Amino acid sequence: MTETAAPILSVRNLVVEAVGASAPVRIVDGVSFDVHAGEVFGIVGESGSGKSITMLAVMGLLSGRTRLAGGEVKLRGRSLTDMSREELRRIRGRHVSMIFQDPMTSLNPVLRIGNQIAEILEIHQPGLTRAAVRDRVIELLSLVGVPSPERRYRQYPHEFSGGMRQRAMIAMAIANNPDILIADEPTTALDVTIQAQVMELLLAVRTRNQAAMILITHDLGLVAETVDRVAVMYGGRLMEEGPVDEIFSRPAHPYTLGLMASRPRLDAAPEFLYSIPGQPPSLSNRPSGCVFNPRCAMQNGREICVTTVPSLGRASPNLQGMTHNTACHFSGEIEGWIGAIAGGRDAMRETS
Amino acid sequence: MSSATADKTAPASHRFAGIRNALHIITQSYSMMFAAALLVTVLLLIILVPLLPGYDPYTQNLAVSLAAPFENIDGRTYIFGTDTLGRDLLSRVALAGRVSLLIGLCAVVISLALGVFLGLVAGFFRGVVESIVMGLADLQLSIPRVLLLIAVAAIVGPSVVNLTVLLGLTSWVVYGRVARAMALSLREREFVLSAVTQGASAAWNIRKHLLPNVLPQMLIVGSFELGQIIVFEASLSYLGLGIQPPLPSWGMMISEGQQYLEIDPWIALLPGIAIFMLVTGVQFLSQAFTSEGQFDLASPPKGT
Repeated sequence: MTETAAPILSVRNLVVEAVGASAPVRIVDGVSFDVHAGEVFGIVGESGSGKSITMLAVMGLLSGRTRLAGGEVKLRGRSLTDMSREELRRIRGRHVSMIFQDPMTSLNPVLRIGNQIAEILEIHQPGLTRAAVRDRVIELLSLVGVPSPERRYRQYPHEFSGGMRQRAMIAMAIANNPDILIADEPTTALDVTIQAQVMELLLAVRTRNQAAMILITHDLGLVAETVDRVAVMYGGRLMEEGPVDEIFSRPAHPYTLGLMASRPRLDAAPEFLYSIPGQPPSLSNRPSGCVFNPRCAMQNGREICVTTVPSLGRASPNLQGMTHNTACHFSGEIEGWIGAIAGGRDAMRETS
Repeated sequence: MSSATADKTAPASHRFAGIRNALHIITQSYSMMFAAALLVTVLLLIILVPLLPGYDPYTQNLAVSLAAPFENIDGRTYIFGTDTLGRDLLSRVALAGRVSLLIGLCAVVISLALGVFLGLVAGFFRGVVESIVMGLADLQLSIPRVLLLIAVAAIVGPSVVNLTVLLGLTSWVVYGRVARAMALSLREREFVLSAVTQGASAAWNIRKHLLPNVLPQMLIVGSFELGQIIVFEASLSYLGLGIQPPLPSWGMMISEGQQYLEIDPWIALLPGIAIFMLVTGVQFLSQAFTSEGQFDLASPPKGT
């Protein structure tokens, strides 16, 4: 996690546009981040903030009405955005692989589980013999904790429970020892007891394979527990990015602050749960300047918030000891606003 | 979630699941059992008669021409009677059935392969490919099929191979349309996207993910089409554009027999009844499986 080492994945100024009847709409706007070897990088944000689209863009999977309108994605120094479709196809599943939210629909109902896992090996390592593929699949199944893998190999998805299916999906994702695992809300569709098991497994196989992981989620608790660094997305832009401990304990962006304040707490019984006032912006009619400005208490009538897009940079020097990046014109003032934003809740730093 | 005890018995029972399913559906109603009985009777006739000692579809014997069914001439009983040239009708109906069924099955395989391929490609890629394929389908539908068959058969000349290929090539539209419609919904399913993120190419996805999902339905459409194709083949043979003598075909036998309808109606009636039994049996059964919708050759029964 040293800052100096070259990142495995580097995303610079990624712009994704949705092409519709009217002018193209920017659904991801100038997103930049790095993922380093062995690190778990979290992307949090509400629905529609562009988290998943960002990842699809990284994998070169934008299609239909969305297109990459700018920016660069580099995997181990090789630019993915310049690659041909065929080169990209070889990267997917081999160097970068993805785990989806819903294991119920991510498996083909008419194919045996074993054959579906075997598929990813057959695609990327066509030289393998049938027996070798079979052995590897059974090894993978036992690795992800599927009991009696030889028998399970021959079963169909409907014979697997949700948790077991997600384990099978994880087996597929790690089959070729990828450099990066992208997990798009991997536990959202599972019930709570299984969530913890699956997450534990995911982290274990990640450590074993020494892969970096990108965890996309809106579960802040999950982020706090599992992630090394986190990026907060809102309205298609990054609001804040940095080490998870610092962002959770000392957010320098009013949106993050509001997000933290709106978590229910075990140690206090508030009269009501705080919520950020207003609605998430419509992407086709995005507020000028800072996307968060219409909902932001700190804006307070100030012109610059409406006219100028704040760039993601070091938090204000006023904030001592902060090392993470934030996109707010007035991040230096954040500590003065904690009371106002968190609805009277005192001392944000005590919340985590 | 499947329990461990259920799984132990699973592999052996899965193998015959399709057959058990089919039997279950057939025994649901008397009309289905009747249809199955018709089909089995014709199939037994086609399969067994050529194995009998008296089997001889070709030898002409004018002395016994136009024998009535069960007529005994010179110590030999002609169960179905004989035709104008004194050939044994039982043998000829059975051989003609083999020819018709073989042509029908081959034509179904050809059209199924072609239709499924075009339909899946059209549905998966959309865009220009889809427009071209569906345009072709509409174009072909706009020309009456019998007219098209007659025209092309007259040009390429009659032969068993020509007839089979021709029937196959002109019957793909049904499969194409159904396969495309299914591909349109399948391509949006997450397991396809998931395969794409794993580096699967379009060809891989079509072959490994779309095909197994559409195949059971295609087989049902195919069984439905079989009846139609046999009727088309009979029509063409009736017109002299299909099977050529001395090889018998049901359609041709009807055409030969119609001149003698007043003297000996059995010459035309027997092959007609055979066509009726085969086609009715196939159609009724395929309809049963279609409406049941659960008949699935590719996957085991649900409910574990």
